[in-house]
Amino acid sequence: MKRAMTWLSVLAMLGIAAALWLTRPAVVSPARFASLQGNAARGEVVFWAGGCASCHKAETSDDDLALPGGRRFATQFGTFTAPNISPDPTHGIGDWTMAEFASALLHGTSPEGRHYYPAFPYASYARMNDQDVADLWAFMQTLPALPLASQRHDLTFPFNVRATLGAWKFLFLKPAWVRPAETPELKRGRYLVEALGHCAECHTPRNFLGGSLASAWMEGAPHPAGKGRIPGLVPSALDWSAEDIAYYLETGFTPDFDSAGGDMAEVVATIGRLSPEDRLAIARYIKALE
Amino acid sequence: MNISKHFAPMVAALTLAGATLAHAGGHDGNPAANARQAHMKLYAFNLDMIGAMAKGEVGYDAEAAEATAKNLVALAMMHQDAYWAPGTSTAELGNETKALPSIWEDGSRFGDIGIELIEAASELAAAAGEGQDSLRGAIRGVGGACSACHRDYRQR
Repeated sequence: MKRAMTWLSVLAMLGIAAALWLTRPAVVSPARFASLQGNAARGEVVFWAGGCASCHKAETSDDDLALPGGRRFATQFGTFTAPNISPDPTHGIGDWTMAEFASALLHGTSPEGRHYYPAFPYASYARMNDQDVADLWAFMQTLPALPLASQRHDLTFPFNVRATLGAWKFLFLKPAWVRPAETPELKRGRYLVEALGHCAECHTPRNFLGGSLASAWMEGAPHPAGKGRIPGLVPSALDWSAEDIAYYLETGFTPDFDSAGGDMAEVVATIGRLSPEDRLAIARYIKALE
Repeated sequence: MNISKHFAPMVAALTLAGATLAHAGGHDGNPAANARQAHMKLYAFNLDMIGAMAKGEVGYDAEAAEATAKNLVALAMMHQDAYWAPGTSTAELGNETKALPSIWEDGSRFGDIGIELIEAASELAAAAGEGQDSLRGAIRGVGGACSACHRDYRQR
């Protein structure tokens, strides 16, 4: 009996070890990005579409190009604090390689080989194409380096154990497109919505593990901070015309001429810098959701 | 014929109607919060007119666009201290208002954003008569000021 128990615990430990090995942090191969040249001007478009500044700018700042981190995000898992992603070599991402940057965006893996928390929306950025990663990398190096130390997240057990994120990725990191898109405009809209704009990260409800509920994609969700509700974008929840949606993303004004507030104000501040064609592509794709 | 038999329900019905009328007659609600909401409706009405032209839903009319933009400037410049009175936030009025207590706390940028709105509305007034694209281009600044305040000081 005692021998059987020993064997069982050995098997259990082997099982855990195997699971951790299978869900270890993934990285891109450096060769994949070695030949890519980033274009900073094109990267600026990726930057505004990606909304990096909404989370990574300073708490009290409206400067969307200064990204020292420090904004705090209360959730049911604890409080996340956005890290410094300015080009500072010590506190920011200044000494990263392009491949390390790509591993962060596409696999949620840090240069030290650790899992990032999905508060960083890599579940969406995983759909980015390689050239956009290279262009964004080039643009972000042009931003001011800010020597401010990143702060630790303040999370509850078991969410404070990063190794568990391997299992999270296994369950919820699905880089395939969610919806079909036929025309070039809808394809561009889908890329902006599902990859760069990461709209579904807030507009889709999450389960108790923080995974997006595929069955309720873009149907709206409770606000993670507890109060308020994030509206749905599917046609049953949103009856605005495509032009209304594009105008809202440009100016923040709803068809009733109320204005964006809350977190969506940050989104309008960045998405509103895209070209009118890109905003309309987003709007048309949103209208095509079922 | 028993009048009193019909009288009691009639009195009850009339009393109920009277109470409902008095309630709808504007006696409820905090006057400051009501005034703020009326002010916001005036912004919205004028923004609607301008936005319809910017979006091309109605024909562009330089004179009307400029006059409407000037309304926004006038509204933004109105002296509003009395209806942004302390003690009229969500903390005191509950669901009657969405104005957060942080408006009145130390370090509030509420007044600064109000000045940003005046500046943005003035730029819109200067641009509004110069063509549809010029009009549309200047609306984003006004929207930015509206959203900056709603982001930080309006209850979600």
